[in-house]
Amino acid sequence: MNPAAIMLTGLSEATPLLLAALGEMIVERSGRVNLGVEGMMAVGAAAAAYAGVYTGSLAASLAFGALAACLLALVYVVAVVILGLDQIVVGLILVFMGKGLADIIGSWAGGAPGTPLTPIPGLGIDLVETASLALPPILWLILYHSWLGVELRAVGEDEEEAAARGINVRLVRGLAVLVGAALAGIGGAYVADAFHYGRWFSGVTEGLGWIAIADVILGYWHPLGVLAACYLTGLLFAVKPLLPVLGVPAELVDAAPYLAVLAAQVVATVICRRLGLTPPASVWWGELTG
Amino acid sequence: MKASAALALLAGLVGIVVVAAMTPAGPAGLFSALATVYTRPDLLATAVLYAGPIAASAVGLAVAYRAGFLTIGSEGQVLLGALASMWVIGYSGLRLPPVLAVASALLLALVAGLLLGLVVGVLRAWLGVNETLSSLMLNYIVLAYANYLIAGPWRVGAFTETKSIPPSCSLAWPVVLACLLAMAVVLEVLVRRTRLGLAVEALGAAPRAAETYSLPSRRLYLYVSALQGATAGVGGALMLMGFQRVLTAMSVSPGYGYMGILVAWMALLSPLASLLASYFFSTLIVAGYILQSYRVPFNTVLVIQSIIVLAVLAYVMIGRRSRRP
Repeated sequence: MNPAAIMLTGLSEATPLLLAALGEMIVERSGRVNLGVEGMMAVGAAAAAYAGVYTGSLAASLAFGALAACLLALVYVVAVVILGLDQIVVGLILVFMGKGLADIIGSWAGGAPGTPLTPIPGLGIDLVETASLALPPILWLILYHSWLGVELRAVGEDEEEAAARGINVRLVRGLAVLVGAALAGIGGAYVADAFHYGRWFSGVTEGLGWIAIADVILGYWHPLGVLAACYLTGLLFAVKPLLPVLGVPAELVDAAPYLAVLAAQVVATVICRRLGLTPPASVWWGELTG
Repeated sequence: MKASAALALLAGLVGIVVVAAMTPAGPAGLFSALATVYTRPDLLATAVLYAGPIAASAVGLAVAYRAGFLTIGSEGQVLLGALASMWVIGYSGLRLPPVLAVASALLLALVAGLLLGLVVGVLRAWLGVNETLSSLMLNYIVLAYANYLIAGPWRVGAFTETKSIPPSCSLAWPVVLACLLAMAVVLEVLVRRTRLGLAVEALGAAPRAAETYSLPSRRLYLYVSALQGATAGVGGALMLMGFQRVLTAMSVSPGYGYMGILVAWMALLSPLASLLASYFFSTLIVAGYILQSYRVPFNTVLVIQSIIVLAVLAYVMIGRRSRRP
């Protein structure tokens, strides 16, 4: 493989991570953590495959992926945002619920090929990749240069103050969770449609949701930072087939991306502590490690 | 408020019926499968075996979560424990008599789980690395390593699988139950009756305050992470010698360690209650195997378990709130 091809593969591997991570970043900026990304991506992939197989439409496939993840996230909205249950526990529950539901919905599709997502001729990247590359700058504009972004961050930084200024905290948080879920769902749909010809199998998105959450931290809760973190982890997956040639022992090849993310997480934590940086949002991260 | 607490349970039941209706078996099929499990002594005994890795994970997690140490590494620790036991019995070259082989398999699994748990604890205590994510990455690293062993050095025969452990090293359900009871009782006493338990409780309730009152929070994180890893490691041995017997290539982890997380929360972080909750979850697993013959995906069980935990937590939460003046 030549370097250009690896870069392109890396971009494609990074796309589902980027979509999910940007979604989680929005949630965390609103002051909550949704650990259920893994479950939402799984459901997104299964619903996308099912819709793709039965409608034959790529748009329907992606839309159903987003919708299914939103429906799952409604559980989080009711339990955490409205009832006030522990966000960590509910997030974990969402992971298991999502994986199970994905297996049920995926079994309806029966492993048939659905709607493959192929690169735009002459451009080398597909529609979703293009859109996901446009997303970080757009989110940057929204977060830092619009009233919507100010409201979202205000809710995240100091919810009592935000409420006193007349912001509906629950509404903002609920919407943030649903937008985050939609993005994770599309991320899952992308895995099925772009990597597996719209076909679904159990565990098709395995592990990606967790790496996306790590990428939010590695990207320091900033849209452009998250873009960089996701692209680098995408590259890790892209170079995986080359590792044996480079002399990496066989027992480490499959574990390599996870080892690298773990190492990056350790280094990032240490650096942030040395510099006295705390997470910008009032998320559990700061609460627990500060 | 009592009505809304009951509503949480009702919503859970409706959720289970809806999920069952999404599968080929339907709600009737689900409930009849459960009825079958609860009326057949042999299936009830099998359920004890499957409860092994779940309960072993849950009792340790309950203690860790009390300390606010939110690890989800039990999955990888169970798998590593199983690998350690498999090595002792099948690949170490030691020709131990069965009783000794079983005992050393349990011991090595415990040590393996403990060390892996300690990695998470050390990263958290000294470097402040978030334990949820680090433990999760370790789960995938162990999974990749297991698959490497199974497809590579440990592979025997035409399929991608290891040797099977001999019948003399299989554990009967009373042995599994005894192991679980011992761990649960020790940890329950630790949590409720010892100074360490009190310190764990204080650390979980208010980490900053605990630091102010000079609780050794670093050392406490190390203790709970080691303890949690050790019980999950034993769970791996119980899984291998209780029912698994042979390891095959896996695209996804077996999942018993993850179920332990659900169980610990459902049992409201009590080690003894975790035992009961694990057994209940385990009967659901056996029902899930019956339902597989109706082409119901096995992970349907996972959805039902999640709904039950969520309903119980909502019920408890609403109940607590309404009692407050």
